[in-house]
Amino acid sequence: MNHDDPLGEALRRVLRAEGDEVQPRGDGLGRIRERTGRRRSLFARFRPALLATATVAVLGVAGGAAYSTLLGDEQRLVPPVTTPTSEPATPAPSATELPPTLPTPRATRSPRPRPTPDASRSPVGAPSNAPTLPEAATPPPPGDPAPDDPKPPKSPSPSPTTSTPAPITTSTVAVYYAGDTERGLKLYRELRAVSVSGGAVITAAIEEMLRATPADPDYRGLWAPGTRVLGISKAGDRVTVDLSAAAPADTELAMQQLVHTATAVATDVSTVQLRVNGAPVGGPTGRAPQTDVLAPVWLTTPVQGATLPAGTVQLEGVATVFEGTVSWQVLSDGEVVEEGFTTASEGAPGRGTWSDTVTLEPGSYVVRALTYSAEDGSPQFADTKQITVK
Amino acid sequence: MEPSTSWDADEAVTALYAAHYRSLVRMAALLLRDTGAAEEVVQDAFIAMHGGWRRLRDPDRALAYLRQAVVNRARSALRHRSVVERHAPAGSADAPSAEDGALGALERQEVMAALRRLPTRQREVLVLRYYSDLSEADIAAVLKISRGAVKSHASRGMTALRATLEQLPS
Repeated sequence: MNHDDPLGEALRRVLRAEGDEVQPRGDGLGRIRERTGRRRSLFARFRPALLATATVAVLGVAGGAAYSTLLGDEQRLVPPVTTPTSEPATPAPSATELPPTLPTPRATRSPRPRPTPDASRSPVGAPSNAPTLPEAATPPPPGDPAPDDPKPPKSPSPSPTTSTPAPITTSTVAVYYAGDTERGLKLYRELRAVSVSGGAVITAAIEEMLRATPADPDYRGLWAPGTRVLGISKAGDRVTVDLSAAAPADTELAMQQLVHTATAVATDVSTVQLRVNGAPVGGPTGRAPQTDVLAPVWLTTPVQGATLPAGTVQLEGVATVFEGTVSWQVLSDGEVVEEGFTTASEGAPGRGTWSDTVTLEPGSYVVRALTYSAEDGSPQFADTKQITVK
Repeated sequence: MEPSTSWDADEAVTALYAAHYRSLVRMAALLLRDTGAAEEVVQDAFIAMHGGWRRLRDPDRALAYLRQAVVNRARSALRHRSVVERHAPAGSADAPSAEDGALGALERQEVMAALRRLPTRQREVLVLRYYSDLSEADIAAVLKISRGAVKSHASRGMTALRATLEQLPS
């Protein structure tokens, strides 16, 4: 910095010489305009160049420039001490993409002006004794890798649904649902409070999976509405589930939805034998590799429709992403107001948990967790939740 | 350009682009070693700023935001590159050396190679200080670290560079 620092002076000269050789193409403003001007189609723009050319050393082009002039302007604009102004202080650490001006498809797809999860998620006719998880009261634990699903008190011997007039208890179970991703339909998880009759928690979880509408409107079940559990029996580590109808489509993933839900609720179960109206369908099936069936990025906290106190909001999830880098964004009226990134406990192909915090003022927000393609930098695998901060 | 809070987001982009685009691209290029990637990163930062203009409303804050966004995005882009590339070999060591601070091609190559081998934070601090001429306080604000941390990254980075240069044949 000072003149009696020869190395510093040398570095300054080197950097200036190197910098001077960098010549922007000159159409930058047009490209920025093109992207700020439109409200859609921000994905898949311009990114390929970034990583594709990444190996080329900088400084191909020679040519001086008005660089010092620009630098002068720049310095004048900088206040002596830039107070890190809370808001702009968190610009997209990892967000290499995703111009925040534009609402994302997922965000716009579920424009529920007011998250009223409990009202909206219970389908007509859903048994009233199957309350969904009250978000604020029971936030899900940090997202766990699939094999570590939270284990609610499990039933010693799951019994057929309709049996025994037994004591009713409430339990929290992990129920899996499907959602669209860039790699096709994949599974997501919601924690839900269910009524358990006589300790038949596997039955309760599967019934919840069959009849309940997921809290997150981006998710859906893969079994036909009205499908019933005809019977459930357990032998060793295998559970046999007899349903009233086969899955109408996506049968393999539907089976995985069932297997994941059943095995999440009971630690000692590893395979599921499906029967439809008593007739076996396929053989005993265990969980498929998580990279095949689970959505790469889960945002598990906050839950859809949560109402949270203003201040620090905890973000948590599970992800299988390159180098574990998970990005998140908070949107208000379709604009990114906060964003950041963090590193999951494990990178792909492993599945790691991640968490971060963000400070939010009162308002309605969409929180998104996502990752960016290692190939072209495009945003992928967004899991979105609508929340209210009061 | 005079600070103005009457700009709308488009005007802010235009004004800040005119004043800072090139220097931001150069800064990003020094961090990324790739002009195309640097431009992408800076354009992304401008777009983010455009989206956040409602809250920025001030050229100073917007510039600080841009710098921060560029550094963060450059860091993220680097992270996505192959490890191999990060360890690109330094230049050959048989070119003539310069004397008395007049760095020749070899030194320049060596300094840049050494800079690239530094931990990310150290490299960022050195580029912000010696290329962008930011004060310690501004660097601290851009990187969201303390001034003490800025000092310490700068000092460790310079020590590593010095060690590299001392190994040059002379």
